[in-house]
Amino acid sequence: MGERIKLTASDGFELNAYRAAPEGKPKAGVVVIQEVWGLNTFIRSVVDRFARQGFLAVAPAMFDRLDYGYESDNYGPDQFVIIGGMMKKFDHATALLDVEAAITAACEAGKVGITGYCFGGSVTWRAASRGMGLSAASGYYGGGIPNYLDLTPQVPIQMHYGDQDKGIPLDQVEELKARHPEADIYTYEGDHGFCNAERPSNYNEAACKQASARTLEFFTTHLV
Amino acid sequence: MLAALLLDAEVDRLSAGGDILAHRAAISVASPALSLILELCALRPGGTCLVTEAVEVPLADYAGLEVQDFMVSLYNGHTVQRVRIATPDGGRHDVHECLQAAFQDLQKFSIELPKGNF
Repeated sequence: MGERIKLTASDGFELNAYRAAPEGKPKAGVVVIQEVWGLNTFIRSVVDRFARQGFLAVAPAMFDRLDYGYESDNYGPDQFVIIGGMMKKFDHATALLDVEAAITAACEAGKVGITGYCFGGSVTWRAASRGMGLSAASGYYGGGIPNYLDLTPQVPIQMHYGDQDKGIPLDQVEELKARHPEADIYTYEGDHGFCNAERPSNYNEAACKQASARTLEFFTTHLV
Repeated sequence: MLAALLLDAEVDRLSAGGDILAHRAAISVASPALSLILELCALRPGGTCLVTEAVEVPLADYAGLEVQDFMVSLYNGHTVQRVRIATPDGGRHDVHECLQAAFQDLQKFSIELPKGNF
């Protein structure tokens, strides 16, 4: 449904992206932030889904500054070394320039929301804490809560976590809830990655449907 | 800690009523792993104890990580949480490796030596 495009960040860096638009006038824009596996099948499917739901959706390739063109549908441990190597070079500041480029591309549709999964969930919170012209944020199982616990979202935000996520302890989720009563924070029966249908071992269809429905309602409320 | 205490108790059982302190000293000399376990179980203030610490994972070891450790490492400066035995001289030993070695040594001692004759 969508297409591969290029975006140019404000520092001149050109990055890959995936964009999908609905038939007819879009209701609003949505920026989709990837997991650590790049613009793979799952992320592209999320972009396509938002387009079917009436949004102009754009997913920037967040690791193009680290390994240009990296994307993988291989969730196995042989990717861990590659991803670990990239994350050693990862810089939040330049990453947000790429998010900004995607927001610019999405804002032709009006208000823009941001969503993301895992790594993308963390970036979602960070972007929301900067404002960045966004109007809403809805992040999924953003890892490393202690790293963004002290950042205050500037836009309405909701976050979704699995209650069996071994990488994100529930006490960290509870601390996030306590520290940010302004955020809608939900937990679901599920492991990390419960909303990635490409990972059957982690996918929980019921949890994903409920969380995705909440995201859609949230974006409809705040963006349309 | 429970596993360590069970090993400690088994060491004492092998003394079979003999000089338990001499027996434990001899075991400690024969097995560095059991020596650590016995020190841990002594629970001396300021002595050998268990600690949970962030340990850096070399990139080359990433493929061997469990998924949750992989995730945690990405967001925590390429470190994972590990339980380690800390000695008063600043030494650190992976608790699971130590327990495994201690158990193997204890098995060897149980088989090879008549009770009370270590």
